[in-house]
Amino acid sequence: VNSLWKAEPTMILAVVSAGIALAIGFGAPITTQQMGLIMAFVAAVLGLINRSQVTSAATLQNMTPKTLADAQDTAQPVKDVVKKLPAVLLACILAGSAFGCASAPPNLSPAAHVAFVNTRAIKGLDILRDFAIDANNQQPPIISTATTRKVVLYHESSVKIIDASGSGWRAAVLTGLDELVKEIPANESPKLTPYVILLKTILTEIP
Amino acid sequence: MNQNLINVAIAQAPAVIGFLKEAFLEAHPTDPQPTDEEVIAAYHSAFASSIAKDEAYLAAHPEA
Repeated sequence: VNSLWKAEPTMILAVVSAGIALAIGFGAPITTQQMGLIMAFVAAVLGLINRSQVTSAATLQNMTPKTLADAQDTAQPVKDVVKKLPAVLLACILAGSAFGCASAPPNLSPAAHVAFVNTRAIKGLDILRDFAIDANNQQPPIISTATTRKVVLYHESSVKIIDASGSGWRAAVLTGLDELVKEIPANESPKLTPYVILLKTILTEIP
Repeated sequence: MNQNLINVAIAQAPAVIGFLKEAFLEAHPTDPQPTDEEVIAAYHSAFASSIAKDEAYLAAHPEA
């Protein structure tokens, strides 16, 4: 499986795609747009895994024998962790394949309906913010404090927009997310991309 | 660093999956339905705790 991650991310993506198509065939309520978002999320995760497993030819050319040996030594723990990822990815796909955009309970008043939807939006925003903070807390930090502050400030303003505007927040929060993505440095962007895609899915699809 | 990133992603996975299940799975028709008061209280709780975590982080990491 480990060599498959390294060598055949495209094949894995094709298998996942076929699995989703099969789920749709058996009646899973997934729209074309949702399927595209799931595939984008899976592609981003696979890209992250693949990047952790490979080194560019240019980098290899610049390595001395000692640094090459050091790199091989540090690669082993990464490979061990990657072994856990199929289970995580499978769980994500299973959760993703359950996308049905459940609507709010029908017994709710209009005010409670808005609160129900807005709670989901806030919890979705929390996922991105919590990942950024946890990544920033690692030693050494995986995401810089400057970038994490941007994520937290975006999160704070979005939650306040949701609270202030009731049901009319979606466009402003999604536009803010696009602006945030533009401000993230290129070297940190891939680490946040899976969570950004997930958040976009959540904000777009919740009724 | 990659190992730390993957560890953080794995640590986040249960919360992400739990959220997706809660957010997107249709409730079974026989499940008890939440009341207005419960839903609104859950919203205020989510809002308050979410903002509190933002403020705590920003206070601990002032702009350089």
